[in-house]
Amino acid sequence: MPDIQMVITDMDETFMYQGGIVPEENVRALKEAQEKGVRVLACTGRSWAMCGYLVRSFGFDQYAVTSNGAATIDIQTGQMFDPCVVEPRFVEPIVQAALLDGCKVDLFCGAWIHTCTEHKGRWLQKAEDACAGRPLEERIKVKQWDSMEEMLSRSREQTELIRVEVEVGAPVPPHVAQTMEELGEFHLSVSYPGHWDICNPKAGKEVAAQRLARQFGIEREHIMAIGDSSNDIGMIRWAGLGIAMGNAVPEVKAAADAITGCCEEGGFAQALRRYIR
Amino acid sequence: MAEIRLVVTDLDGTFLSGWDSVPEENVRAVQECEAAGIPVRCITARGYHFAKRPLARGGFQGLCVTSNGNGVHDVETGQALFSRTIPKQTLVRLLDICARAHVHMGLNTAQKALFCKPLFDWRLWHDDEKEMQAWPEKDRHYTVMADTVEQMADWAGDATQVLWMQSRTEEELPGWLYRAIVCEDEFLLSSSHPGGLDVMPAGSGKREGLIWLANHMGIQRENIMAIGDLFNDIGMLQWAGLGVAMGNGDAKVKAAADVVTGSNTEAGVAQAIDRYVLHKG
Repeated sequence: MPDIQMVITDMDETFMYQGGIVPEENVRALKEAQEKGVRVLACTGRSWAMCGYLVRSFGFDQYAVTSNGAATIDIQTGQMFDPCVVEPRFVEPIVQAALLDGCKVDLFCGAWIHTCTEHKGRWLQKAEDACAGRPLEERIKVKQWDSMEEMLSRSREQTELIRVEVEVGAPVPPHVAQTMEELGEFHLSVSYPGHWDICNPKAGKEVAAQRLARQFGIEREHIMAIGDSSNDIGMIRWAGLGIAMGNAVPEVKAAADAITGCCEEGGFAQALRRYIR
Repeated sequence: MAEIRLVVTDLDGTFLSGWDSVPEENVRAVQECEAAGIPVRCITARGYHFAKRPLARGGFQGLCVTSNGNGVHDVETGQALFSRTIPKQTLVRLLDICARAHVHMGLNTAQKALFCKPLFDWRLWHDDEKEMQAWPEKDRHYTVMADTVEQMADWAGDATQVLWMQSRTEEELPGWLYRAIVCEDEFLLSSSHPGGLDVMPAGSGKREGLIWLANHMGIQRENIMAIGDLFNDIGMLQWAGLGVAMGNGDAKVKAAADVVTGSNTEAGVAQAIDRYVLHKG
């Protein structure tokens, strides 16, 4: 089996659980891998606005892939590389469609999450409440407007992901589905149950992973990808060694080459120690 | 004047009235500021290890910027979020110059303060050296004394954030030393203590550190108040919306700032916070 030179890992329910609890073994295994010269990169559906502090403090390598591949960030400088934004003229129609469907909606715009008070996702409010009282560095960077019109005018040029909140297991709501069909192609995924993430068709974790592999000059057979949910399937299939977490959904396990332990048991660490020589 | 949403302060000669001593008024001001939702953060030339105790005494939270902008650490856990360093090969060349000039020197990595016997003069170490000897054993392990220059370079590896030096005599550091340092590599040269020289990777500086922190916290420059006293603070005083020089500060620093506050022995930091952030007249 070819030696592993790069690991690309999902964050939630893979590297950590309950929003930020990391099994100690995972941190150790990450360092051990880096000492062997292996790059370990974070690849998440989260916005940089919501994972910058975590990614930096866990000591991941160089670039973080966020927003399901629509944005790649240099961890040291915070510089965003070629964000793959949703076509600006598509943003408003999709947002309005979501409101017609009675859904909450939030926009990922680079270093900030943009939202409108009346239509703010419950997931976002909950996430903000969870870090209330923590130092500002650890809190989510949210820009909130009272006026939807103003929010859209500030956001439409730089939106890399539109998150529409539905019920867990619910399909894409009707108006949103129809609007997307009319407008053209999109990258649609679920990184977090109950929420549909809409991106430019060129986004996707596997696309970002491939770009980074090219940049580092590493062939796919030397890359291990680890994840747990459907937005990880692309990179798990593409990587030479695709690993599904023990807690992964069935279709992710089916797409993987091997299955590791559950997140809370340190399945991430197990996979690194097993497959990295 | 724009609303202040973040306060950043230097430590030595600014927030501190001595090596490790913090005026009570400054602690009170930090508490009130944080309670009002305005973070107060430190940007220091010290490495994290030497900043840890005054940070705890001052009641600081969140992140601190150390080594003149080359380190960013979580105040509570010490976890490093950012490190800008000098590679070992370059370090070896610098140490050779230090040896030829027979200076008193040390270096900071993210984890340690490194010294070496041939280039260390106990007489020049800070006045409260006795206090440092009284630190608990577990806090002293991060100061390390190498037997030789080679050993120091081996231990530092590629992790040097700052290399600082000063002359052992009353004389200034010789001109040839500066020429030798910059002839092959690009560095930021600065000074964090009178008569001293700090050598850091290009792109360093408290200004760069403040920009990183402001970006990380999502705060605009016009909403930032920065407080300092010495030459290496000028960059951040100029970049911040409101630059405050200490009463005990260097004349050049006062000239570069927007306003001047009381001295570090009179809790000048608390005065500035009270006046410009908490608006207590």
